Amino acid sequence: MLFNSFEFAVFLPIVFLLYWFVFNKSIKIQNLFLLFAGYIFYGWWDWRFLFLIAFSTLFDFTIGLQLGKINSEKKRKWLFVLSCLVNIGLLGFFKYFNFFIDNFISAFQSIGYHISPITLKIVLPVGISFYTFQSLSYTTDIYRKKMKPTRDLISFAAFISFFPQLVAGPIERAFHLLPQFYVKRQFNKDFAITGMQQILWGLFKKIVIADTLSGYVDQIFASSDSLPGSTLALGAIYFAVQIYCDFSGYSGIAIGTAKLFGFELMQNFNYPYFSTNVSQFWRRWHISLTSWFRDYVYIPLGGNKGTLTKTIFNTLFVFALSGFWHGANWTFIIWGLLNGIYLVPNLIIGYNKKASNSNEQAITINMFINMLLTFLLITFTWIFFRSLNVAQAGNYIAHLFSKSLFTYPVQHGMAMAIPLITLLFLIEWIRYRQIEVFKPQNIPLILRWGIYLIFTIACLAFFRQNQSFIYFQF
Amino acid sequence: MTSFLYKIVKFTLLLVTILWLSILFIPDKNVQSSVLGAYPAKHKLLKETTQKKIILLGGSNLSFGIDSKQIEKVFKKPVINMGIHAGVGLEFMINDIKPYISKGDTVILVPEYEHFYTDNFYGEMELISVLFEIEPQSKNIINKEQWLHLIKYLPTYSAKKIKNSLLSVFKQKEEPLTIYHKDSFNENGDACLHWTLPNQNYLPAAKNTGDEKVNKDAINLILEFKHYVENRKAKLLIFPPVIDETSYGNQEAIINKINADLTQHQIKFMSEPVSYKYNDTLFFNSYYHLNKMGVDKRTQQLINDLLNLKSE
Repeated sequence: MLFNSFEFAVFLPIVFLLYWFVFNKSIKIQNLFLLFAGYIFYGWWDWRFLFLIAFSTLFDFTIGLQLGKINSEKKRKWLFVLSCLVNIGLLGFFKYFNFFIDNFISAFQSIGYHISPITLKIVLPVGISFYTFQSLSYTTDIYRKKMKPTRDLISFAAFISFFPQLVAGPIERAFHLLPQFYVKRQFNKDFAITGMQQILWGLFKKIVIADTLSGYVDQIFASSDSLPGSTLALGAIYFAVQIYCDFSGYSGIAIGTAKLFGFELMQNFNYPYFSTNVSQFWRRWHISLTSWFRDYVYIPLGGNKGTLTKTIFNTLFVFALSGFWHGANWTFIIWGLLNGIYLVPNLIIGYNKKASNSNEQAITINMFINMLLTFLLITFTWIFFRSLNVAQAGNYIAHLFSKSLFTYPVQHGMAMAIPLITLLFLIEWIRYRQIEVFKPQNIPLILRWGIYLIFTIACLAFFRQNQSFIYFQF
Repeated sequence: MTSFLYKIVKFTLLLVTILWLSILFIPDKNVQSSVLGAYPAKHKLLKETTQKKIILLGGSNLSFGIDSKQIEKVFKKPVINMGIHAGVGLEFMINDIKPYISKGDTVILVPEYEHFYTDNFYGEMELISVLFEIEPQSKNIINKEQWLHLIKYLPTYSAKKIKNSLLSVFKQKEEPLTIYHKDSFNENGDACLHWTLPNQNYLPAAKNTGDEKVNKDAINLILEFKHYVENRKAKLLIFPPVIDETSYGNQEAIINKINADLTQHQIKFMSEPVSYKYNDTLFFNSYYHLNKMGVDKRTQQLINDLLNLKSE
């Protein structure tokens, strides 16, 4: 069930009303109902996926209990390794099996051995990368004694299958989200209104901006051979905005929906395209995943505590891994590595430690130029992310940096792109210092409702059926 | 909670009222001048043709894929190409044509493959546009089940009307004649403006997941239509649509299922679907829209198929 679908428009109000009016007697009933709703939501794609999520839930719940009981460090370590192996193993099988087999075969063929392919027809369960990481963070935190295991299976299962963030995050940490399932939720009107505003802004970004740009991007990437470099440059910029609106739109809807049920999810984006350097960008883009890799991979590897060479290695490794997490394709690995490479000069001069993540600073011309340069650097990496394979990316880049880069771009049929991108950046620029981008307040009611109506009608007017979210494939 | 719900209800009512008013009072000039606006002219053509005729029935695979004059020349009968847009749905196309079928007519039905396994069968936004903007009297042929499928398009349709009317302020008063204009059809109903234009880039049909199933409603409707046509002493022939090689490859599994289901119900395609799989270079701007070379090839193949059937 997609957030931008007719089904979800029916599902959400029903679940909301039942949650607050029928199943609100106790915490247990509230959680049981959320669990039920989560399974309906997830099973809507394919009921077979439910077995997998149920298995992950039961397995990590049991491991968590055992980790809490056992005192022997050696046994705890084995249990933790088992949890990692099973979680990563499931992810590896469903997401990466064919990738490894294909590359294995190619490698042998390149040295003259012919191996008959044994690829399997594996359906990738939606959101597996997200809930596996969420579940894994639970056992890891218990192993590290950062939190105690829960004995409440219903709460834990509801936490893993919490439908607003189940399929594309934000990837919540158990210590942040799970305790919210232990207390009875009381309806808070202001909280719910903020949630509705976030949902509306998320839908606007997804339906109006991302989906409109996606049509242009698809055309440009499909015909990169015949288009001038200037159009390809626009294509890359359009994709940079598309993926931002698509994913941050999803996160906004997820966070807003969670608020309707009395839950607070972590912020996933913080005006990333106004970053003045790549390091800052990565503290503002897909925050829940970046911080997951920082806490569970980068720091355990030693982070920046060792030599400069070790720090550079750790950085490149984590970024390559992050790329691989996105998909079983070399394009994602290169995308990740490129972003890692961008950070190396900063690591050498020690700039990252000094870089501020605050939105409070006054913006100078220098900062503005840095923002622009950072945006262009990041946009370049998106070419790999968007391409179907490395060859296509290479071809695209070769055509992009040709003489035709300085010709007038082909813009036929893409009239909406520039106005929509301008509107997005204008709104974000005005709201730069606020956590929520879309929060009309301190203005007369008529004006506020007028804004809501305009945004809602725009969402309906631009709506197209079956426009999935890019991150659902991960 | 009550005040929150009260606000939501008030907002929803206000929104619904605005959308409903837009349906009633805002004309959508975009739709009126689009290919959908060609319906009245095509209906007029059907009404005024009193001789035994050949009616081509389907979506844009026909409007952008046939040169009816060539068929007319061979069979010495008027040919009316009713193809406009697959989005109006097979159910509407069939029910819409029924009153115009007379004794001795030949109806050549060429549905797009999507009609057999997606909601496209019941009609989409294009059908809503036809019903509210082009031919309101056609609402009478929409059944309850179809309305249930169509209702989800209403909010988007009405919001689009508001958007289009606002954007029309920036548009030229005289709509230029484009390939999707209502006047881009010739006197037989073929879209012909693109015949002199070079190919444009397009995306092939999406790859099948393997889970697609043939809609039984589509099969039943065609069966029922066949009886209807035969009762009118006319003839129904069903042909596969023309499709590019890449899209055929992507959809092969469901195409085979459709073919098997039709054959099982004795309403099989008159020609194998694979025979209408053409090289990608023969397509203009969609995997169903042919360029002039493709149009000529397809028309000739259809003529040959019809001649073969005649001689059998």
